[in-house]
Formats: sequence, C-alpha cells, structure tokens
Amino acid sequence: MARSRLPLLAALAIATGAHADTNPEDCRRLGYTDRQAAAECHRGLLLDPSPAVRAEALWGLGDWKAANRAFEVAASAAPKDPDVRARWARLQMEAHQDADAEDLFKEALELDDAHIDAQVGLAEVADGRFDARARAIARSVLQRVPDHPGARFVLARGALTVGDVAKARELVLPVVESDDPAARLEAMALLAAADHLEGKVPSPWTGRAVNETPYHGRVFETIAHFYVITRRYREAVAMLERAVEVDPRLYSAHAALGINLLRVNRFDDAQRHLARSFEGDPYDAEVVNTLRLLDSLDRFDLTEVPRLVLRTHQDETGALEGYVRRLVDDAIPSMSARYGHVVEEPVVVELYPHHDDFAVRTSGLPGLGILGATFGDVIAMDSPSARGIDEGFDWASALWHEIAHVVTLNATDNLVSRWFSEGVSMLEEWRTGPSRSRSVPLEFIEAAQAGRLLPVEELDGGFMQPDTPDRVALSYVQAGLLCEYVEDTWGVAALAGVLGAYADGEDTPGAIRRGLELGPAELDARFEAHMDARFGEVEPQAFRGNVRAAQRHLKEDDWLAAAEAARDATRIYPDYVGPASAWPLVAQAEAGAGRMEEARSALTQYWRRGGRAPGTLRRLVEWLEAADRPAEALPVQRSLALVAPLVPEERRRLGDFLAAAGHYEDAILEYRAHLALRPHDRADAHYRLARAYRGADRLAAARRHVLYALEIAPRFRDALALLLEIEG
Amino acid sequence: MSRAVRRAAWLALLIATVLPASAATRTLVVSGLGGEAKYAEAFAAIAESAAESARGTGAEVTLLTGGAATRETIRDALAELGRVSTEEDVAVVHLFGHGSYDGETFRFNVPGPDPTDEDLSDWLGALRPARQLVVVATSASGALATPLRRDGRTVIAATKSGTEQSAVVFGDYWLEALRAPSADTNKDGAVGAAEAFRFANAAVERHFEARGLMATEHARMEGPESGILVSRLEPERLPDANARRFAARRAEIEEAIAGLRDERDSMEIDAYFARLRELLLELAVLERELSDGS
Repeated sequence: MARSRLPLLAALAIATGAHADTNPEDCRRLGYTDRQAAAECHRGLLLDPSPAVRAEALWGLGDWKAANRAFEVAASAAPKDPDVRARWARLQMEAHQDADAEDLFKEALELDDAHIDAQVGLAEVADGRFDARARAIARSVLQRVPDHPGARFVLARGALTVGDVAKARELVLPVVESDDPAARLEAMALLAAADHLEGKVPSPWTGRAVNETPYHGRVFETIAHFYVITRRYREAVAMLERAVEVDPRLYSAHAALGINLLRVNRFDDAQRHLARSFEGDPYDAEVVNTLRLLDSLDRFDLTEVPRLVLRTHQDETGALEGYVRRLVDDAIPSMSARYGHVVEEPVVVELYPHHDDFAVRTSGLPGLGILGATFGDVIAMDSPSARGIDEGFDWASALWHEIAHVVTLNATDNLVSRWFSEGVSMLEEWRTGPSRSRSVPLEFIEAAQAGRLLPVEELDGGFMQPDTPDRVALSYVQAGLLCEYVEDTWGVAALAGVLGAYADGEDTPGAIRRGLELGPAELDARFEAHMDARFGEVEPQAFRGNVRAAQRHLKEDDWLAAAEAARDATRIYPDYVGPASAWPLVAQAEAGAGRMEEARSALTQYWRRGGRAPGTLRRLVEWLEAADRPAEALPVQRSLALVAPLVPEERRRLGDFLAAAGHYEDAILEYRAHLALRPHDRADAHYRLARAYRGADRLAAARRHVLYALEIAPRFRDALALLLEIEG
Repeated sequence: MSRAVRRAAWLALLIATVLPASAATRTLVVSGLGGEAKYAEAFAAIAESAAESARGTGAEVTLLTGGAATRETIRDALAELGRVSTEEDVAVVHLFGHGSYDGETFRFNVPGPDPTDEDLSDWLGALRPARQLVVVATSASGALATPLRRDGRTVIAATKSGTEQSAVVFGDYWLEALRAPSADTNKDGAVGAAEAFRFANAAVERHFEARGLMATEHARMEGPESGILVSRLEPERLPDANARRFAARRAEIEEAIAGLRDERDSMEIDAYFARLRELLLELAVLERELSDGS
C-alpha cells in the first residue's frame, strides 16, 4: 500500500506548497474542523527535513506503512529521543499493534522514566486489555500531573466499566474546557456515555460534540463501547449506526458495528460493515478473523423451531439438534417459572467446532468465561467437538448456564449487573442443570479461607477488572454461591426480587436493599459467616495429600492403603468431583482389591455428585452392565451420551439401553444421532433405528430403515427377520 | 467407484463364498522383532490371533513368531506356499512388527538379516494363486505398496509411505476388526479384507483424534477391492441339501439387488424401494426357510 506513495505525496507537497512555520500538531487540530485543510497541511510537511515530522505527516494522511518506516528512520536518527518512540507507539496503537506499542512505550520510559505520554500510553494499552494495571499507572501520573487528560480518561473509562458514573463525571468534567480539541471531544464522549449508562438520553454532550466537529462519529462509538461492556448490544448497534452515518470513514466503528450486528443475529448487515471496515483498515485482526468466520458459516446449518434458532456445523447438526432442543425446552420454562419472566423470543444458539471461531465471536469483551457467551438472545459456544472428550467439557451445563443469562438479560432489558447474572447462571447450573455438580474448586475454598473474596459491591470488578489472574474464576464461583445463599435463606422469590430491582434500573446496593431488605455490607457479613460454616473445616492441603498418597499406593498395587487414603480424601470433601477427584481413586482401589460392589458405589457417588469425566462414567456403565443392573446403568449412560454427544458408540449404547427399557422414542433420538455421526457399520445403525421405530409402532419409518439396512447388507439376517416382522 | 466396478466388487464378494471345492486359502502369518519386550509380546499375540481367525475361515495357516521368524524361514514358508498352491487358490500373507525405510530400501525387522522389499517382492512373485492378499502392519510399510503391486494382489499397509516410521497401532485395530461384529458391514457373518481395512483405518483415525494427537500413520489399501475372508464371526452353515436347494435362488436375488442398486439414481425413488422391498422379502422368506430347515 505505502511503498510507492511517498514520492507521490511529496510531489503533492511541492504542488501545494509547504508552510515553514506549520507543525504536525497544527495540522492535527485542523482535522477537527476541516479535514481537507488538514490533509493539505499534512502534505505541506512531507518534505520536512525531520523524519519525525514526515512520519506525522504521513500518518495524518492515512499512510500508516510509510509513517511506520519514517518513524523507524526517526528513531534511528535520534536514539535517545523518547518523544519519537512515544509517538511511534501511538501509531502502532492505531494500527492495532498493541504489543509493539507497549514495547515502544517501554523503550521511551527506559530513556526517560518520567515520560508522561509514554506512561499514559502504557496505561491505555493495559486498559484495552481490561488490565487492572491501567488504573494504577494512571493514578501515579495524576499524582504528578493532576490535570493530565489522558490519565483522567483511563480512570474515567475504568469507572464507567464498573458503573461508577459519578466518579467518571468528576474525572472528566474539567477536561471539557480544554484547549485541545481531541481532549475536549473525548471528554464529551465519556460524559455522553455516562449519561447513556444512566438512561439520560439524549445526552446534551453528543449534540455539543457534533456541533463542534460535525463528523465526530467517535462520540457515538464511545457510547457504544460502554453499551457493549454492559451487554446492551441493540443499543450499541444503534449508536454505531449513528457513528458511521456521521463519519462513514470511521472504520473502527464499522468494525464494531459489524461485530455487534452479529451479536444481535443480523449476519448480512454485519458482513457489509465488516467488509467496509476491511476496505479502509486492513490491519484489524478482529475484522479479518470475523470475516473468515462468516465465510466458514457456509458449512453451518440453520435450524429454526419454536423457541430455538440453532446454528451448527453440518457435520454435527444431526447429533446435537435433539439435545439442544431438549435443553432449551427444559431450561426456559424452568427458569421462567423461578424468576417470573417469560422469554418470548426464540433463543439463538451457535455451536462452534473450532474454539478459535467462538473466540472471534467474543473478542473484545472483558471477563468472559471460555465456555460460552450470551449476547441478549444469542448464545455462542464451543461445540463439544471443540475440546477432547477426555477434557470432560460439560457442554450441556455450559449451555444451561448461558440460557440462564438469556433469562436474566431479557428480564432486565440487559440492566442486570454482571455478578448477579453470572451468579444466577452458576446457581441454575448447580440446581436445575443437566449435571447439577456442586463441586466448588479447592482454589476457591482456599481463597475464601484466606479472606480473598470481594464485597458484593465490588464483585462486578472481579469480572471486568480482575486484580489477580485467578480473580475471574473466583468471581464466577463467589457470585454463584452468593445467589445460592440468597435462595437458601430467603427463597427463590428473593432472587426474582433482586432481578426485578435491576430491571427498574437499581444499582447493586439498591437491588440488594429492595430484594433482600438489607444492605450490601450486611449481606457480605452474613455470606462470610456462611462460607466459614460451609468451608471452614475443609482442608484442601490435607485433601490433596490424601489424593497423592492414594495415587502412590495405586502405582504400587497396594489396594487397601490406596482405598483408605482416597476415602480419607472423600471424607474431607465429598462433593469434589473436579480433576483429581478422590472417588475414582476409591473405585480403582476397591476394584483392585476385588470389591466390586464398593467400587461401583464409589463411582456412583462420583456420578451423583455431578462428576462427568467420560472415561470414568464409561467404566461405571461397564461395571453396572457386568453386574446385570441395566436400570442403574441407563441414567449414567444418559449422562455419558450428553457429555460426549459426538461419540457414535455412546449414542448407540444409550439407544440400546433405552430400547431395552422400552423407551422407544428416546431410543429413536439416540439412534438417529448415531446414524448422523456416520458410524462405520451403517447397516447396523439403520437396523437398530428400524427396530426402535418398530417398537414405537411407527411402521413406515421402521420399514424405510430396515430397507436401508438391507440395501447395504442384503444378507443381514436380523434385518431380514425384522422386515418379515414389519410386513406381518 | 463406477457402477461397473461396484458391480464387479459385489459379484467378487458373492463369488468369494462359492469358491470351487478344490480351492484353498493358504495363509502365512509372521510377527517380527519387537525391540522392547512389550512390543514383541504384542506382535506375537496379534499374529497368533490373526492365525486363529484365518483358521476359522478354513484357511491352512503357517505361523512364524519370535526366533522362528527369520529371513530364511519366511523365504522358505513362502516358497512352500508357492509349491503347494494352485492358481485357483487364495494366498494370504500377514506381517506384524516393525519395519524401517532408509529412503531406498524397506526392511522387515526379524532376528538376523532383515528381509527387504526386494526379497519380499521376489518371494511373493513366485506365488501362483491368482488372488492374493498381503497385509503389512508395520511402521514404514507404505514403502511396500508400489514394489508389491501385482494383478490380483491386494496390498494393505499400515502407513502411507516409508517415511511414517513410528510404531503403528494399525495392527491392534486390524486384530479388533477380526473380532468385531461391526466390522462385518455386509452382515454375511464374516469379515473380508476390505471390511477389515476400513474398520481398522477408521479406528486408527479415532485413536489419534480421541487423544488429541497428530496422526503418525495413515493406512492404505492398493489393488483390487478384496473380499478374501480374514475372519469368520459366525460358523459357516454346512452346505446341506436344503442349503444347496436355495443357494442358487439366493445368489440370483442378491445379483438382482446388486443390479437394482446400480439403477438407483436413474429410478423414481418410490419405485426403487418398492422393487427392493419385493426382492428383500423374497430373500427374507428364503432365509427363514433355510433357518427353519437347518
């Protein structure tokens, strides 16, 4: 793009005439009132003897590549100049190269550790990653330069991210009268965003910003950013549409609009804006990845049924559709009843076989779990094939969790706080979900015992501005346990009350007071006492020690010692069914000692408490079958097929159990999924399906499938016999 | 696969079960060096099971394992197989173990000097049977696919080329194919070479997928689609008078079904299934009478 432009631009500079007394800052300021004049101003600087000035001119003219080269020359020519590096870093930020920008800011600070612009730049890079260090850096800058607009903006954005609108206004209001138009307009944008977050629309600040610079689409883009942060995607889309209307060349807004249109299931419009963004700014990896994802959707099926719009890869639709429909059909009425809100619109569920595709759908959002994401009515998730089944990815529970978000977001028109929405989703996963595991991680227990949990008023920050690497994971569990405590103490109606308060626009303290009739501090105190009662006696280190001892004894085939150590671990924490659960070790040891009844019992405990590792469940099913206990094996096999829905043998085995128990319609679902997974023995798959249809008295379908089986394998004796049976 | 080829393959499968009474299947099964004890034991166990399965099909079997499997004994066993067999017979050779390939020469690892691709090509070239099956379940065995190619010979290799040199799992799944009812996809109560290959090949793919590993072996089958039996899952019914009476009619119906399947794409689907149903009902009745009679 840029290789041949410099001579041309230089020629233009000669043609228009350079102004000896002009500097890049003058040209930049001109850009806020007259873009044409700003471009001429920048062209006038193209022959400036200073490579740094030429770099600024090229940047101002939109030639990022040439500007980058010019900055490189400038930096070589002035190896001790931190200013050049700080400005070069700004260019890198605009070109979406945050890692390079960070390096350059650091280089600048190595040359001058008090370089304010480099410090603010570092804070902005960190802020873009929702990194808590952003605010620490900004605060230190303000201690030295209390009026620094950039540092104030970083802190204001942080405040708006967690809903502290008053703090944001306090920080930004003084900047509105700045001489610098860039700072002034950014202040107006943040004040407008604050108004929108409080529902004070239209905000006078948008009008003032556009009056000053008619093509200042960034004010709307900034408002949209905070709508996205608070999951209000429809409002974000409206703002971004306004942004590109005001400034069609605002490619970052086209990009954000495209990405958020996907979140409200408007794929065609999304494609158009993403393509427009790419035309103007081909360096945005998020746009490139999203366009690639859209291209790959040709291989996805779209299934529309009452309550559900399902987007699945064509290789997986047949195996997953039945389960997703059942989960949605079970979850929506259950949760609607519990929270007193009926979801009217169909839920859109997208299941991506490649985790990277799911990651593209959720990029740019803070503190999201890695399993799924909900945008209003749209749920995007990893499909079960995105992870190996041995990783025990409980996709059905993850979907249940996301459906709960649909309910809480819908019930409050997206006004629910982050912690409460996550808490309800965790609670529903534990209480009403398909697995109902209540296995709180040992790391959470240790954090609770160490007093590391957050006050409820700060719990949103645990997701949005994590102070430690484990904070997001801890916050999920804490939010879930808080909601569980509320339900156990005041009943589910209290949760519905808190939700209703959020729907009426209350903040977290207000919602807690209205729903529970006590203040946040009192809730914190009671919850802390509850945590102490529940987990105070659990000794994670002793648990781990017993597990390690059991594993050591198992290696030595010392079954009795292994069983004893593993049982000691289960006594310390019986509900733990996560990785390195003690129950499978008990089972292995008991089986080694030949005590199969005890072995079966241990694995049954594991399964009942929500353990879902496929290999462990497979062993339990086999042991129950060996003991001729099919009625006990059936529900375990159901769990196994649900957690491993793309393994043909598991679907076939469940079909066999169901058919043997006379549950023919359920068996048909399983055998159809088995067939859709293209099993090796297709004749056998058709035959089993035909047999289930026969059992369900659906003779036409039974005939069709037995003929399919015999078409493949005419000598298939069982199928020939079934054909005669069907034909009477 | 073209219709004509599909038809030919189908007829070949039919013929495979009605070979002349004088035709015999002669099988050589060899397990080579394991390197480590666990591999040596595993290869020998696989070889013994494959030999047992071959015996179950009525084949005459020579089994060479451990120290008995040397370059000389393999050469002699193949020479003997060539000496006693006729053109009407079927020759089957299984090699399990480790293979190596240095870019030019494949070697099947046995105690003492290793047989090379050239040795194997020469020795197998002396076999007289028109229908032959060679299964090489070793690392680097893909290097043999081209040197061993010959009219009427199906070659199954565990790897796509000589460069896939990791120890293979194909042999384990080949063995599973010899026992699994789901390997018998045409439900004739026996597992043919092509059926076993497809079963084992799919199982190898799943093996690597399930473990999240990059596949280090890709099996291949060269030569004609082979219906040569490698295992029988159900005991063969004796060709009693009752069976003989219906065998001809059954063969006719099966041929008619094969012909109908060739016409599937050009027919109205309802008409196709109506005719298929008629033929299958007749076959079902015939099968019931056969079962009742036996």
